[in-house]
Amino acid sequence: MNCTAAALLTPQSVSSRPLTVSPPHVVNGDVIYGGATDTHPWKRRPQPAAGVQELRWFHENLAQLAGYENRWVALLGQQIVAYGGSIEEVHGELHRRGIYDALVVLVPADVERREYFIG
Amino acid sequence: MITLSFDEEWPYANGSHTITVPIRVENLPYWVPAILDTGASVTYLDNALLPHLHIADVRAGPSIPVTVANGEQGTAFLHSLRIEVFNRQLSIQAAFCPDWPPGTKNLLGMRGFFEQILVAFDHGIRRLYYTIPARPLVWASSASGPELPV
Repeated sequence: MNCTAAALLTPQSVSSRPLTVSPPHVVNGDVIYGGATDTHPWKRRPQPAAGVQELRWFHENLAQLAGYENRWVALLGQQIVAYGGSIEEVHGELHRRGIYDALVVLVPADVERREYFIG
Repeated sequence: MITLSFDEEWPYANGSHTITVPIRVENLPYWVPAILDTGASVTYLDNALLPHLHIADVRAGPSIPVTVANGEQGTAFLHSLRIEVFNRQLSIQAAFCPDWPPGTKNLLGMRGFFEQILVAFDHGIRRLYYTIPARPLVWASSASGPELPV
């Protein structure tokens, strides 16, 4: 899909202040900065939509997570596949069961409260 | 008039006015939610992720002073990480604040994230559009500088 938007910006509206520019090193379309020091191989998983369905379900069905307040839960599809008091517990369970595309979220203390984020 | 082109469309409908997207940090075997936050100067990640990110000492990274919306101040530490988002892989510098509790929301902020991805919102129809522009990116090499709002 190619989407186009237009903005009423002019070159004159952009600051001419000098900026520090470090040309990135590009490998396979990924931008790698010199400051990135971790060079171990990235294990890419061909799941472009992973987490999306789960995130939507989480936001739209939070009340169904009553009983899991203040706990970390791992969602896969519309199912809770692991939960625990810490993210380490959930991580361990997912690793043990070989589940790699769950969404891990902390269930808020009040699942009935409609929250507006200010940050 | 300047015309911006975008490669991808991303529908979102989470019932709120916050745009949250799933991200994978490094090779963690799960996704976590992160808020697209143009009001955050830096990308901030939850301390709960630290034990599995090979970061033994969070304070070993460059420190930056941060201020949250209510004026509370703290110190965050920057670490270079890779994230996967929108089916893209990015190397970013993310801030961790060890004094904040586990479960603090992940924020994809201006430094590290929005300087790499061109994003437009059409919140009226709950769509965003994004692309990675093919141009050199602006990146301040020093962690020092003015206090950063998160």
